[in-house]
Amino acid sequence: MSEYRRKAPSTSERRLNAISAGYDLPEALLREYGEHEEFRQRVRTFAQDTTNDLIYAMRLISGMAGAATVVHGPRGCAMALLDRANLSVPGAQWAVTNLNERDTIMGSERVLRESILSLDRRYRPELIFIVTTPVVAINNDDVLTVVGEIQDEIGARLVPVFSDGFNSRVGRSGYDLVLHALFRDLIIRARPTSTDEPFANLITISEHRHDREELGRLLAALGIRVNPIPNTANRLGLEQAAQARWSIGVNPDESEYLGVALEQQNGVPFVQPDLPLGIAGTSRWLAAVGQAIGSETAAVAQIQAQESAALQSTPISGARVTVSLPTAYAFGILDLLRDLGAEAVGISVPSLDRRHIGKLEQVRDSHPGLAVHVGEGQIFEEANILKRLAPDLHLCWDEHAAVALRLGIPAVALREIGVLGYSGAKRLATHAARALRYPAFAANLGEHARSPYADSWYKKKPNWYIKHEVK
Amino acid sequence: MTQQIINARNGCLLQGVLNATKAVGGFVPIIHSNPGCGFQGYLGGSLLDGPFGDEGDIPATNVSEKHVVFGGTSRLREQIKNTVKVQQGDLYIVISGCATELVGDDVPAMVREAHDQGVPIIAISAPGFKGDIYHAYALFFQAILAYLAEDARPVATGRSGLVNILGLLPGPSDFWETDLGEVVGLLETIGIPVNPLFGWGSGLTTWQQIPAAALNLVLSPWGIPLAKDLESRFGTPYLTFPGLPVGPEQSFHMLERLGEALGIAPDRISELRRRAEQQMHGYLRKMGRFYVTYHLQKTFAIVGESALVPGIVQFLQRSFGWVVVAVLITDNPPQEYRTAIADTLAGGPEATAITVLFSEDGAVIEDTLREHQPEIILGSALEAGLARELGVPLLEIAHPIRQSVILQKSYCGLRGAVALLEDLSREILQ
Repeated sequence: MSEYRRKAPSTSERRLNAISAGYDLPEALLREYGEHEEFRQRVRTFAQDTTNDLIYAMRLISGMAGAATVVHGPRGCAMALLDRANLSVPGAQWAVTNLNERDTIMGSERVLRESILSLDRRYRPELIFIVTTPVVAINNDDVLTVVGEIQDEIGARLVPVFSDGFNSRVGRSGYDLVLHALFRDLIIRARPTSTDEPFANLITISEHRHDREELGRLLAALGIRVNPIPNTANRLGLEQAAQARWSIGVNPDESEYLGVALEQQNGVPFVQPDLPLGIAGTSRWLAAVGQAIGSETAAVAQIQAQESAALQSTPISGARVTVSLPTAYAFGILDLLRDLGAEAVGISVPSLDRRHIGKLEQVRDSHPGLAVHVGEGQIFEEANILKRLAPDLHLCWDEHAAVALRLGIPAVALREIGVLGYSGAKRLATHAARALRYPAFAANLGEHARSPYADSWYKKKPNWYIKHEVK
Repeated sequence: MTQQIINARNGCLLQGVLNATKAVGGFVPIIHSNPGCGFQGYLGGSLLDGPFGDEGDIPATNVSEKHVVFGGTSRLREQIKNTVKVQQGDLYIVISGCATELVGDDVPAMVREAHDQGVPIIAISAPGFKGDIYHAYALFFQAILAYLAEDARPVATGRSGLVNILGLLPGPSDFWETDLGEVVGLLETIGIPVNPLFGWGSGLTTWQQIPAAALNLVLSPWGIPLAKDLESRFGTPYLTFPGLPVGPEQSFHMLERLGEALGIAPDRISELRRRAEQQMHGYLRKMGRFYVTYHLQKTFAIVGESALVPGIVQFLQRSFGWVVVAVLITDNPPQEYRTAIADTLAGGPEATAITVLFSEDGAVIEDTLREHQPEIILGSALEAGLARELGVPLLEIAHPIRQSVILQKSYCGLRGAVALLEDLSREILQ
């Protein structure tokens, strides 16, 4: 149990051998892993500002029901909460401790205490997350003492999340920080309650509302009652998680930490198929879930047959496509593109780790010439790659859309669509086909855009500024 | 007043300096901090890209644990060297954040080293714990002016009658470019050329022209210390106004004073004034029946920056018969200017009934709005929840804007005042 009682889990680099920079063929990555028994860490000698664990942590917390957040740091560290997605959550409440210079020298426990108390008094949330920031990490402010002092005075359960912005180069580590904190402060401590019927945790982290609804619908068709955690969950949902009959993961990169914790510590079997992306991918996910929970094979087959018939035309057939997506999405979409008759010519992921060895082997076999770019927010590298590849279409997460448009390449940002499950595959195909068939906006931008980069940059290799780290 | 801020809307010093740097043509920022400082500003900023359309392309050292423990100066040296190769710029600005300031990186030494090699570069120490985006405005200005003075570059000869506009922050408000555009347009109608310091047309050359201006026009408290400084350095006179003008009365009040200061024939301005007022009266006449039929006379509360709020309040009171019940100024203007702002707001017909508060705290704002029960709120997306609770419309006029796309629209000047009436009416009808 001890590792789950620590302040924070190890970084993705230490725990999973994650790397966040690179531009290599799968063959080379696999060879490297074979020779060194790990991916070698890489660094950039020129970099662009990117996300961090604090931002990922806030993104996850802001989707939870009945929760309030104290961002313990200077005011700028809470700005991500003005994101449109967060502001569209009814009742989202947060406070920033607004640390000043004196606090950085003398400590800031007083204002942390006041911030927690004021949120508790005012909004009566079930949970108050305390998210730490680089300043607090460097000064080593004693958050736990403050929490210990006031926890008994207030109704909300306090959940400190120890993000620091610099220990990991993998922003997604922020999700693990929150999941670790939820497990440590809620799930382990929860007393068993009586529940009427068996249910499954659906571990959902960054999925769009449409995706949660779609997967919930499919699981309901299999007769499974679902407890979605932690996204949209309230305190009760989390406290009941250990009593679930199964945990079912959606995105394997994101759900693994909590799924494994529940399995190891509470004996809740963790079912983690590949991401349910695309018709075939969704059918595989459903079959794996059905098998794990002992559903009738016929029931699964019936759903698959009903649902998969709907995607008929392949309007992006023949298109050359690049993808810049979270790792599970990027690998998962390759099959879907193939099914749609499109050719994946470029792939960019924010990070890679040892969990992706199997996927790299598949890509090596199916797309031997496809170099995998690893980097989050490194727009200059993506610009270089996209200019070389000149794809017909770019499928991406929203932050990566502008770079393609500037080059005249139509782009579809998937985050706001919800592309999982059968209905998600249809939505994705519809958006992709539209962008491809009517590229006027991108074409217009491409004609008039100016590049922020020197011409000489485009003549260099995309990984020119990536070096192996000297230990 | 509490230190903590509920539902904070204003970013930090680093994000303010970054906004300013991105808003000047040819200026290239280099963030020296942990990853995420600029990205926080991006997520919390506008839904749209800035004037040069490259919001995500911010060179940054992204310091990691190793640099926090052992120092990040060598990483900064490397980043500067390579930034110059990847992104061409007329001036590189190293913006250091909390992490590297706390561990004591010698940023000036790294910048001096690059400068000695002929790189146009300066450092601005901007840890978030030292202030907000509004304090960043003066910090940025002073740093550029110091660089230009130190570098002894010749001051370009300005056109006669050139005016610098001070006090309008370049972001994060979606309206900053369009508000600036309206003011520039107003000045141009009476033949006054504006020296663009931010946005399209701006660049190192326009900053070099600052001393050549005939006048500095100050449109918020944040520009006053700068105007005083420029007066003492270069002898440039300045005119201050309580904020952006809204509608013909305020716009021509500003133009007449400018004309007086710059020796422009008053006849020319008064003719323009007569035409603008006629046009506005025409619009108001068109709305007459609609105004009465749909009960357009409303009580309102307004939440926004000191640069915009006074003008809108005065316009709606004096020209539209609206009744302001609460004014919340969210940019924490320095104490010495608050009385003047409150006095300006108190000049309306309902002087005694107005509550004027200076706060960016979501709790104070919510409580005040709840207490005064306005029939419409002019504010930001952060007031949307309360507007829903009160069952009243909300028009987004301030950052963060999450329901509108602002490309040309402004709520100041002549056209802006008309747009304001159009949009308020639309919100009420809906």
